[in-house]
Amino acid sequence: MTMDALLVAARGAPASWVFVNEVQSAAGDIDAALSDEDWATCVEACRSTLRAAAYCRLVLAGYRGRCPEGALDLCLALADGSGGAIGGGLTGGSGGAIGGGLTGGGPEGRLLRELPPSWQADRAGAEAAAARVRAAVADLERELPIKMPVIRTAEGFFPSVRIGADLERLRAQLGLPPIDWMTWVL
Amino acid sequence: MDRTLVGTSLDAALARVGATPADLLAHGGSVLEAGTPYLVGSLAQGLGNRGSDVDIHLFVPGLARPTPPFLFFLDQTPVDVEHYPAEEPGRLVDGLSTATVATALGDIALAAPPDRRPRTWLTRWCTALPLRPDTPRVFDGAARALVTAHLLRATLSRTVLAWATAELVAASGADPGPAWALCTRSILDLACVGAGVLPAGDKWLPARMRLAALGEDLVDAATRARSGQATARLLGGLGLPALDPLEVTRLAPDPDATEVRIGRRRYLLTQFGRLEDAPAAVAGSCREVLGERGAGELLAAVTTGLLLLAPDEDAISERLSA
Repeated sequence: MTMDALLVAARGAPASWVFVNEVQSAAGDIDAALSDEDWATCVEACRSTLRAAAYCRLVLAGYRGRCPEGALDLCLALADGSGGAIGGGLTGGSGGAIGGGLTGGGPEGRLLRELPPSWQADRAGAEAAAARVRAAVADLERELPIKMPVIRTAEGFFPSVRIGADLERLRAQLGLPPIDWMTWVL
Repeated sequence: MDRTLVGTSLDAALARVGATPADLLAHGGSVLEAGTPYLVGSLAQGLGNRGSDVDIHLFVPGLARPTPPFLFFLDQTPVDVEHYPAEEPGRLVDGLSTATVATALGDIALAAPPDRRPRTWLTRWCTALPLRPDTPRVFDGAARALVTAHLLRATLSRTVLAWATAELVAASGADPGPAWALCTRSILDLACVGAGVLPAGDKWLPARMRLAALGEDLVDAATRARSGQATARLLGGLGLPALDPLEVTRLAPDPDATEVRIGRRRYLLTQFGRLEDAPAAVAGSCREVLGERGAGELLAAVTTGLLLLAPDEDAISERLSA
């Protein structure tokens, strides 16, 4: 397997941390709400997971800062569902009517549109949403150059920290500054 | 007036994750003895479920600044412990403007809301539950009332931003449905805060709506609202003065986009990690700017990090106090 070291260190590393800290934790909330038979909160957790996944994609595509809340929601709201959603551009250009540089991204905007108002959700709606969002998270995870353990578990915590330290060493070798934890948050 | 609902007791809050105060204090050991510990966050707000984290804030005399979180596990439940200077809550409240206006929804601050981090702290400290008996709440009733006025203001600012965004999307010819749905969420959030159920993580909105006992009529009307008129009716129904969302929001160059020169060419390096041709200057209320540019062009500049769409806090304060 060959990877572009600079891409892994500069974009893959922060995207992996966004995946761990934001996507994994939001996805964990989906299962917790389902176990609690709280269908409304399950749909909300699906929504949070999709927003986190969209931010993770932005970082993987070169986004440099804390999640731009308003701009992220706007991008997702404008996603036309035909794949021309978000993703900040490796490909660039003005793909959609308004999408600007945020083209060529994932399915998050379309999936968000398909969610029912959470306060009206029933078991069937919540379970269907959970299945679609889990599949989207698995797709996103496959696109990340580094596979991370689930950090907020007793088993996954230290392995994640170890991978983080290895990524920091790679970044230092390539002349990149250490990851600033306060930057890569939703 | 302090209208903050206290939704739960310490025992009931920790029971949601299958724990007791005694378990927590025993597992935390000396970590929880460095200062005065409080349970904060969703569990303390009467929210949460078996998968929730336990968030603890410790107030430590003499500490210079907040410290990064310390994590331990109570069985499978993550426990985050953060240390704050004991003086921090008082310092933050002292920094809040006391200018407020009374509305049917509650007192609303006439000042720009605190930034997100201190706002989260203030929210958490309003609803914090002491871990040890005979410990006072972090804030007294007067402080909680003032913080709530600022949280109501923050939620109102977010609502007018969501409203203006939906108006711009509709004006651009794109489907405004998802943008109106976000506006609906903000209005319901506003109604919750007005009922004393303070902001929590986004996912807790429906649970907060239940705690706030929002009326079915309001929820149905908000869910159906897909126009400026419907939004204005809803906000009027909550007891807020009339606002023109495009007058009280601004479009201006995104301060995070910085100029880069390469040879003779000038670019803007955006937060999206792209070099974009610098657009002609745009700055003003959305209403003014919309007179000069198309909505589609403006939204494209927002989604590429060239322009920032934000509430005009001074204009909102002016409208509220008119």
